Amino acid sequence: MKKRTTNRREEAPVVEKPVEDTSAKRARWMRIRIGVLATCVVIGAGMVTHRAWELTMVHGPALRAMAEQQQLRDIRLAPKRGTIYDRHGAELAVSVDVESVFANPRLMHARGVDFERTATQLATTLRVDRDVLLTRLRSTYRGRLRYFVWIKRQVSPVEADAVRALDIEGIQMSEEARRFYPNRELAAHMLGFANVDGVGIEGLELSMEDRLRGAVEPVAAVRDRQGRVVFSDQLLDERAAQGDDLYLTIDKTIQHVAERELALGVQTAEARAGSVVVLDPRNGEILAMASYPTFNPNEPGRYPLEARRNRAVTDRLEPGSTIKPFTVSAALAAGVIRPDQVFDVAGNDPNHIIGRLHIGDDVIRDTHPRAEPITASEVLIYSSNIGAALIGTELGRHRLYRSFRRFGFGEPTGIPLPGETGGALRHHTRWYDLDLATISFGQGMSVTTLQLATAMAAIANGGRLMEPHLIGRVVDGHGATVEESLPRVQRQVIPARTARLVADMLTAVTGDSGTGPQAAIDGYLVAGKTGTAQKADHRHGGYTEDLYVASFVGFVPAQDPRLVIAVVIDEPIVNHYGGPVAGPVFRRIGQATLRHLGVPAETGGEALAEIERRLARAERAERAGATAPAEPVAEMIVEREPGEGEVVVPDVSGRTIRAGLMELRRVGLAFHVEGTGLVFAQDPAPGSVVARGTTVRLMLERADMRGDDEPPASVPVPSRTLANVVRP
Amino acid sequence: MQTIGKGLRDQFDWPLFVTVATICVIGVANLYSATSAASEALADRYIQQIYWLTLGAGVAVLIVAIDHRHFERFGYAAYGVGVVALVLVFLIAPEIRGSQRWIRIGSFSLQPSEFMKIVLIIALAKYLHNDPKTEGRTLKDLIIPGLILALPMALILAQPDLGTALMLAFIFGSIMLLTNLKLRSLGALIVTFVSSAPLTWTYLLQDYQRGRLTSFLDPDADILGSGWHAHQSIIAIGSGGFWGKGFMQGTQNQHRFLPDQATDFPFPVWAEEQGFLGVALLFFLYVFLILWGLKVASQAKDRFGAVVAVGVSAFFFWHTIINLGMVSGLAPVVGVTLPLFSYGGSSVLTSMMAIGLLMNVSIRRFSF
Repeated sequence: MKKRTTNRREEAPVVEKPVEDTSAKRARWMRIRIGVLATCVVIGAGMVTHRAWELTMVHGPALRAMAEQQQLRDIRLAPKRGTIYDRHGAELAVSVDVESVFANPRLMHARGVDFERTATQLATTLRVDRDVLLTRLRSTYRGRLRYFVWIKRQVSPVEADAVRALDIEGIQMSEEARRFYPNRELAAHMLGFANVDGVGIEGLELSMEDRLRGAVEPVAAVRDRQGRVVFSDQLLDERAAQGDDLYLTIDKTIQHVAERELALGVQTAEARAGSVVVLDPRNGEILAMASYPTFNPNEPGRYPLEARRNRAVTDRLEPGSTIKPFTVSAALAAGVIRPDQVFDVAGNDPNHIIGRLHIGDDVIRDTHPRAEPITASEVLIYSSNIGAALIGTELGRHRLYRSFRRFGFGEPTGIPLPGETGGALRHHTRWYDLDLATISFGQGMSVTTLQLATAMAAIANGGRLMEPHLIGRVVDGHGATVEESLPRVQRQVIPARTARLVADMLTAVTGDSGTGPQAAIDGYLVAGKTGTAQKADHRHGGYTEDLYVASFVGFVPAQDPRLVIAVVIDEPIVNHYGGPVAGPVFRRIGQATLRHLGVPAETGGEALAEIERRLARAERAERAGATAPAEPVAEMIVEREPGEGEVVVPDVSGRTIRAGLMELRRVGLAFHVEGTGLVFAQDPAPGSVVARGTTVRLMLERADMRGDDEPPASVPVPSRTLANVVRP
Repeated sequence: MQTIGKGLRDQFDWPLFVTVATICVIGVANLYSATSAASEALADRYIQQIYWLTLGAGVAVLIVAIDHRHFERFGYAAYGVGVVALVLVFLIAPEIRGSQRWIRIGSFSLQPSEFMKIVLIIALAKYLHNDPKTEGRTLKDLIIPGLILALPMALILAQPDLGTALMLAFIFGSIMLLTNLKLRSLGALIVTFVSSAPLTWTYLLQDYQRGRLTSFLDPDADILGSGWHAHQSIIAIGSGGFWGKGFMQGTQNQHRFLPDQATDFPFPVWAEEQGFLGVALLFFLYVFLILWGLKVASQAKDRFGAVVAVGVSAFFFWHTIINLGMVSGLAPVVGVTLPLFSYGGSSVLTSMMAIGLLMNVSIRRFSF
């Protein structure tokens, strides 16, 4: 730099060759040249600006996608998935660090590593197919060898050491988190499972994916020039990237008992499947939820889809008699019946056969016909279909439907498990007269095991419907609770007084003359209801003759309920009644759970005596097999025996058009279809006996009408048969 | 220094000052974001940059204080010092990343080749000032200025530092355009330049330099290798969109996909975070600075001042256009910084000296 300061005025010795000594012409030339330079500058700036516009605006979205893709591509390897615990902190699903082997074929090629030899060595060490390895190593992208191929994911520590010992250039290892379910089958259906990339595929692993996966934002992960995966400092703080932990409301011990007893119950009855829900009626917390058959989420691929289904929430079943307490509750709450009111269940058979109620052409039967009038309580004890139908009719279709909806039927409970169904409860404007009667005793609608348990919990909990929940709290990587679910009352379905009354009535079901003495538990009063429903035949329509769903749903202790247990056994063979098939499962789960929770047994004199009486009876009943009063079976009522050339019209309502048509064709009937969606009315009515080849008219609902609270105005209120609908 | 003249305050070039100050402030903020995700060693780069800018501003004030006619007097001496420093590089500089460029002075490293740009401008200005030919220049007239260029350029190419060498050539070319060059000479120069390209390719360029050029011609050929810089840079610029991702929010930078984000690639960080809007603002500042320099040149009171002003404009123009070109895939990746925006002591000092020279000429445009 120049060191001297200059004072122009005093010294001024500086050489001066001012521009003005040249001609004006030169000055003008200078300006022109500078103008040319300026033009060049503007052109250059224009080019760069155009380029910037092109990159940001024209190619912007594509480049943005590229950025996200390259940043996200590595995230799979990055965050540690959250742990799932039970309510007491026992681990149900954990992520363990395991090593995965990958190769950089481009680097290997550059360093002259022999692919064939490498493939042979690795194939022996890792027990994988040599040819597959070789193909993978030689695979190319845009005509060049890849820089990253997996050799084997999630190897054992021994295998990892062996590969390290081989010391082949370009063969590297990265740590990956692998999902591990230490309790194998325990709670498998709820937990679901995650795939090899740690992405949830089923169950909570799927529905809580965002929580469990952790850092949703792409985590800094860079590949260097050689294609090695280099993680940034951010990842060193594992907790930051880690997913949130879930604490379920599940109690591992109760879950274990529930699964064990369900399996035993299903196997004893030689049934196809089953499900159990145990929940705390006071707060809606689900303590256990089991399905059978089950699977091991550590190797889900080895089990059929059938075994991986969480039946407690995904399967619809016709509830049968277990719905009756809700019918009675609704009628009592509405004030249309009094608790001591008696009902004539003798029926109206023209031939004076007791226990047959004719509605139009159809007949409702009771399994235990009673000539004398019975009280509402006895309707539940004897599980009288006619009684329930009379009560339902008294209440009316509108109020029955409303009440059922308020109990939670016909819509999913909203529990965070994938594939939950809401069951099927048609809008009351689409009920026939017969439907009002049959729905009153649980036929013509469907529910899930979870819905049954939740609704029964409302009766147990003084009429308050609690929102069932499965996730107690969510805790982030730093141990801070980020989400906590508190008990939430959805609504008061029935007054507390009514709930108390119905609970008392249900206590009698497990009593001497009830249908479910097998559910009685030593030391506690049990309130509950049995159910036996003939299964709808999905292949042939109508109802099957030998396939049933046996169920029991109840709560204990009856006076101060701590547990609601719903047991559903699908297609039992040995015995198909709810009491003997589902009752013992209820009893054994209840017994073990009450002991586990330390619930004090009843000590009052009268209650104790009552319990002892019941227990003795329960033992007798189990010894004798199924001598308990049998459940009435919900079935299709056939007009009369078909004669020569005649067939019974099957019930195809509520089914898809394809299934309906196949069924009609099978029995030899022609058909005529109107509308779209599911079948909602048919003419002639189901059970009618008609000549073979008769045309059956099917009216279909519009597809978007299913589950609607209010039907579209254009649909007339159907009553019974299509004839009434189309020809008013 | 206080005797520069009472007119100074009135003649102070506020537009130039404001433009430069704005670029500097934006540059430091951007550097803060650019290095925030990087390793610890880089984390305080923006602080160092502030030191360098302050030092540079001091040097610029010094330069402004001295009448540029003194620079004219010592032009060749400065040139001599510059060339000696370039020779010294070979004797004492350590080899960093395969080339010798830096001289350590205490705890600093300086790059003589950077300062050579300023020295070249002054030396050429002196030559042209003393040789005010009116008739068109022939090839013979170009021999001396050609030698003035060739000596440092050869030394810098040998370091090797292609970017800086080319920069010298571009500044030289721009200044010579100002003179009355005969068309024939111009044609001859172009022919020489084009025909020397294959020779340069074969004998002068290093392997990595060839790699950069081939990946410029075929960017997808080696994305993980020599194409990585340009590829990631283009993704960063493009993914900013119109509004940008927001300060400190650029994922390309934060996730360290961008290489050399402090030195050669600060612009993609800016573009990613501020979007096209921010890019347009920055372009405006640079274009204004360069055109302002040309305006100063046209108003300069003597030939030396005019040439210096054009030289400074050329310095900023070529630096900016080549840096922006290389980060946006329009030009091959040669290590050329974005003046006042890039981190680097020598680069900041050189830019500040250039600004000082321009301000010097600008302030004295009315004095005699």
